[in-house]
Amino acid sequence: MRSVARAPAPANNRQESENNRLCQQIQISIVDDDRFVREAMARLLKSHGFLAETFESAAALLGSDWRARTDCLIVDVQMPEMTGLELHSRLLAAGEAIPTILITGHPDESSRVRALRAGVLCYLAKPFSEDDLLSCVRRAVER
Amino acid sequence: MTTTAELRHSMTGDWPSRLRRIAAECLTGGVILAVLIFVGYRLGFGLAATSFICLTVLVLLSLRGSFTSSTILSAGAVASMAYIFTKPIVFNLRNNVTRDVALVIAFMVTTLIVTWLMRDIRKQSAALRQSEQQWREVFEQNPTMYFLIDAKGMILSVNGFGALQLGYAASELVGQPVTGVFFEADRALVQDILALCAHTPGQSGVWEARKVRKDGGVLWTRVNAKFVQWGANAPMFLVSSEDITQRKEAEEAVRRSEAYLQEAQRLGHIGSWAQDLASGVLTASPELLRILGRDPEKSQLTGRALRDSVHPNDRPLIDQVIERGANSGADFEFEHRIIRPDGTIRHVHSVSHPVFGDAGDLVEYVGTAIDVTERKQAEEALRQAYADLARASRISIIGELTASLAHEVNQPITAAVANANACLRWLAAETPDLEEVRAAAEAIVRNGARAAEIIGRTRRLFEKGAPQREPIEVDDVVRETVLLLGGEASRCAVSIRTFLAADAPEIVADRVQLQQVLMNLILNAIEAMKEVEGRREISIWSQITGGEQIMVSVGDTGVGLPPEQAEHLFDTFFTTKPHGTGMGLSISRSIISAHGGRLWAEPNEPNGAVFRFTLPTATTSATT
Repeated sequence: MRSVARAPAPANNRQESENNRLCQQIQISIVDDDRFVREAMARLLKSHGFLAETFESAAALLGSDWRARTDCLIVDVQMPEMTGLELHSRLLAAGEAIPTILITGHPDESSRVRALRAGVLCYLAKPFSEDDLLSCVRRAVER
Repeated sequence: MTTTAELRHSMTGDWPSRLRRIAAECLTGGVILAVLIFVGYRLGFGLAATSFICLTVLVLLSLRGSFTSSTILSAGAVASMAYIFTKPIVFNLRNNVTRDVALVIAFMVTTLIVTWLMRDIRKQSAALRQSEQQWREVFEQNPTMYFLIDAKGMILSVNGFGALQLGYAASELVGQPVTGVFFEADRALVQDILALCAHTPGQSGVWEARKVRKDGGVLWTRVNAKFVQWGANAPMFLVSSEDITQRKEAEEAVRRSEAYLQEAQRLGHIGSWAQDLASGVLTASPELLRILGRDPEKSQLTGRALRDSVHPNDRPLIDQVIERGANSGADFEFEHRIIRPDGTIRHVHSVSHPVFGDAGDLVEYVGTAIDVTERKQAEEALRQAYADLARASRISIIGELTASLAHEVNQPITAAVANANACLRWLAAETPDLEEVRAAAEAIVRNGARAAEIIGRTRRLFEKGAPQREPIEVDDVVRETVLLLGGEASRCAVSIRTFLAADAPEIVADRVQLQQVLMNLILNAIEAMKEVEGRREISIWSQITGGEQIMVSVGDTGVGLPPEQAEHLFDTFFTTKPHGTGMGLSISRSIISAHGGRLWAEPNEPNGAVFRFTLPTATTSATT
C-alpha cells in the first residue's frame, strides 16, 4: 500500500511548518502481520507528515523496492517466518543499517536487551503512546 | 383276578385227571363205607344207626372229594344198606318197609343235599381264599404304604411296600406306635389328625407329613386316614400313605426358583408382566409393582392402571410403539417415564413380546420393565462431570493462552490508540481533513469491535452451561479459533494457513465445544513445532466428504506422531508434554463422538502430523 499524505497545515506555528516540510522527506516502512496495526500506524505517521509504507511481512519488505528508500523501519517483533529482529539482522548483514524501531505485544526484558545489543534503535511495547513513537522516529531521522 | 371258569378249572382239572380222581375217591370211600356197613350189620346197629354213620362219613368225604364221587358213594351206600338191612324192594317187603324205604330215601336225599352244600361251601371257601390271596398281593405290592392301626395308635399291620419304603421289615413295625415312623416335628400333627378321625368315624383325614426311614432318611408322604369298625371287631385306623417326596422336591425347587427369580428381579429392578388379551387379566410380578410405587402385598394391577402409570407426555409415543409392534408381530422396546402414586418420576426401559396362539392370532403380551432411573441419573451426572471437565480444560487452555489473548486484545487497542491520535492530529490542523478524520474514526470503531469480539469469544469459553447445538458453519468456527490463537502462533513463529471449502453445508454442533477441539488441535500443533528449526506451519482445511459429512484437517510440520504410542494418543491422561494433563485429545474425541463424528490422527507428508475429524452435516443429523 502506498499513500502519500500531506501533513495538515499547522494553525500558527512557523516551526511546525518547517518540521512538516522536513517530515515529508522521511520515508518510513512499517512491517507488521496485523493489518489494523500497520494501517493505524501509517495513518498516525502520515498525520505527522511522514511518508509511510506498510508491509505484511519481512519478506514483503525485502522484496520491495521501497526497501532501499527506507529511512526508518518500524517492525513488529513476533511475525511468522521472519521476526523483526531477524529482519534487522539481515539488513545489517546486507550492509543496510536502517534505523529500526521494534514494536511488540509481548515485551520482556531479555528480548529488549537482545534487541538493543543488536543495534535496534528503540523497543516499544504495545500499546505505545504517540509521543514515544514520534520520539523514536525523530531519533531515527536524526541518525 | 381269577374268573369263575378258571376257578372251576383249577378245582376240577381236565377230564382224564378228573376221572382218575373220582375213581380214586369212589374206591377209597367205597372201601370205607363197605367196612362201616359190614361192621354195622355185624354189630346189629340197624339201618338208622348205620345210615347215620354212613351219612357222617359221606359228609366228611364230601369235604375232600367231588360232588360226583359223593353222589356215587351215596348211591352205593344207599344200595348197600337197602340190600343188607332191608329186603330188596322188588322182592319182598317186611314189616315197616315203608319206614325203611323212607329212611333210605331220606338218607339219599340228605346225603345229596349235604354233599351239594359242602361242595358249595368248598367253592366259596376256595374263591374266598383266592380273593384274599389276590387282595393280599395288591395290599402287599401296591406302591402305597398301608397301615392298620388300633385305636391306641399301635401298628397292627403294614404292607410289604410300606415296610420296604421305610427300610424296615414288616415285623419290626407291627406293635410299634405309628407316630414313631413320622418326623418328630410332624408327630403332633399326626396325633391331632388321628384324634379328629376317631371323632368322625368313616370320614377321611388327609394331610401331608414327613416320615423317617430306618436309616434316618426323610420322605414326604400324603397320608389318608379313616377310623372304621367292621362288625364286632375293634375299631381301627386305615392309613394309606403315598410317597410325594419327588413332588415336594419339585415344588420346593419351583418355590426356590421363583424366590430366586423374584430376588433377581428385585436386585436388578426388573419387573415382569403378562396380559391375556381375551380376558384382559394382567399378571404382574412383585418387583413391577414396586417399580410402579405400589405395595406388592396389597396391590393388584390392571392393564389400564399400567398404562395410566406412564407419564402423560410419553403416552403418545408408547401407543405408537405398541401399535407398530402389534402390526409387525415383533418384539418392541422403548424407554419412557412413569409417575408413581406419590408423584415421583422414574425412568423405565420396557420390552414387550407378543405371544400368538396355534391359530396365529395374538393371544397374549409378556414383557419386562427395568427401572433405569439410577442409570439415567448416573449418565446425567457423568455428562455433567464431563461437561465440567471439558470446561475446566477450556479454562486451562485459556489460562495458558493468557499472554497470547492479551496480545490479541492489545493489537486492536494499539491500532485504536494510533488511529485516535491521528484523528486528533487531523482535527487540530488549520484546515481539518475530514476525510482522514472519518477514516480514522471508522478505523477506531473497527478496532474496538475486534477487541470486543476477542473478549466475547474468550468469555464464551468460560461459560458454564449445557451444550447448545445449533446450525453453524465450520469455517466460521475455524476463523474464530485462528483469530483467538493467532497471537500464540505468532509468538511461537508459527504461521497458520486455512483452506476452507466454499459453500460448505452447515453442521449442527455446539460452537464452544467445537472451538475447544480446534484450539486443542492447533495448540498441540504449535507445541509439536516448538523444537523444529525449519518451516513452522499449520494448515487447516475443510472439505465435504460424500455429501453427508464435513471433514476438517489440522496439519503441522512438527515432530510427527510417536509410532510406538500412536494407539494411545487419545487415551485419557496420555501426554507427550512435560506438563501436559493428557485430557485434551481425550476430551476432543469425546466431543466429536458426541456430535456423531470421528477424530483420528495420521502422519503428515513430508513430516509432522495431521489430525482429522468428521462431522455430519445438518441434513444428515436431521435424518438420523
